[in-house]
Amino acid sequence: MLFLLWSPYHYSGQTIGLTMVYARRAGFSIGRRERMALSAFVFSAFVCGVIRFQRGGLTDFYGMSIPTFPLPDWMDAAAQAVMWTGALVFAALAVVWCLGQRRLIPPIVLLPALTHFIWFVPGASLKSFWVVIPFFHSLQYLLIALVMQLKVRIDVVGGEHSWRRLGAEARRWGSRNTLGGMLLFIGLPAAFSWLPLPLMTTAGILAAAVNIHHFFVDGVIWKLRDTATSSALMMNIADLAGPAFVDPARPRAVEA
Amino acid sequence: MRNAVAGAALAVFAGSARAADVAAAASDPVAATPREMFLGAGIGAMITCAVTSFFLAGRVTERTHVALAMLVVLIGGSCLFVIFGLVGREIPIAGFLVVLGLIGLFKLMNQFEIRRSRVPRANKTSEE
Repeated sequence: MLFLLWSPYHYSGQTIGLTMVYARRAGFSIGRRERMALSAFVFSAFVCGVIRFQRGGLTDFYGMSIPTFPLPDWMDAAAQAVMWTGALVFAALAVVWCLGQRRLIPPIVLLPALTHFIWFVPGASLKSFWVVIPFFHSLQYLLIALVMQLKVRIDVVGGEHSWRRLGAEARRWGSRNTLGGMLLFIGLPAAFSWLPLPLMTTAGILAAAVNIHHFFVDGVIWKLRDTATSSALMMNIADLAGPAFVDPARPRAVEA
Repeated sequence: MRNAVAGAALAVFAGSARAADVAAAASDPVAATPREMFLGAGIGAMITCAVTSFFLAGRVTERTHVALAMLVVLIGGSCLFVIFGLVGREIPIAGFLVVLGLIGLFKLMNQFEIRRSRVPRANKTSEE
């Protein structure tokens, strides 16, 4: 149950992180007020989601029936009030920015928060919530991790900057991830089949353990204050394929 | 023993209700319930972390000590959640407090291994 609460909280953090990345790329400055409004919206949507998927009774996770997490009735209304207030304040600040800049805010900046809202408010009642939402969360995560991996590999001294090399690196990375995923989520539960539990239950427990570990690792890796991380996330993939790409934020690595 | 291990794992990930089912299947009537086993294991893990931190004093960085302290908080939080996680069924406001506590725990865990300023606040003030 702890994992089922931590997981959507983690998705909320990713939503804020992605919005910050897109906002920085678009030149939309996210200061203290903007961040507070965005956090109020995103984390209240998370609370709304938690309340809604608890209403469905027992949650089925890998064949295990997880008991509902009892919450007072007034919490839904309170969370919605905070959520809509956050949304209105953030929208107002965005409108002020648009008027000041005389241009529209790029829609991609609002996409993570909008997607988060759809996942956690109307989507939280879906039976498939625990399949669909982690799938889209992983998709978001994989694309960012891919760009980071390509950046690290292309930084190697003497490395070729071309689409062909990017494609090869992406395929290598993808195949390693697929193989690693199979070992982690199928092989490892099979290795624990001696436990007097159904294989599905063992798989669920291990999946939860792996995910909780990933929540920690994410917090350490994805720090936008870190220049190397932020510079990798600020660039376009075409920059990596270009011949004259130089990143002053990170010293050049030497290929072993 | 295998039943007890499985029960303790379920107590963490699937709730104490399911763990109690596994406990009922245990053959030894004087054995600890999976919930008690989990709490015992949690206390043991917290002691191990604290003792490790004590013996590593002066040999490892402050960051490692902070990480061990965070681990103690996580294990302690999980133990409390196993005991009081469902108390909201009896006292609705307690459910709200449990959610607040969990959000605080998640937020704190998000700070895991973050590099902190080495200058204490008091020194900063005196420098100013």
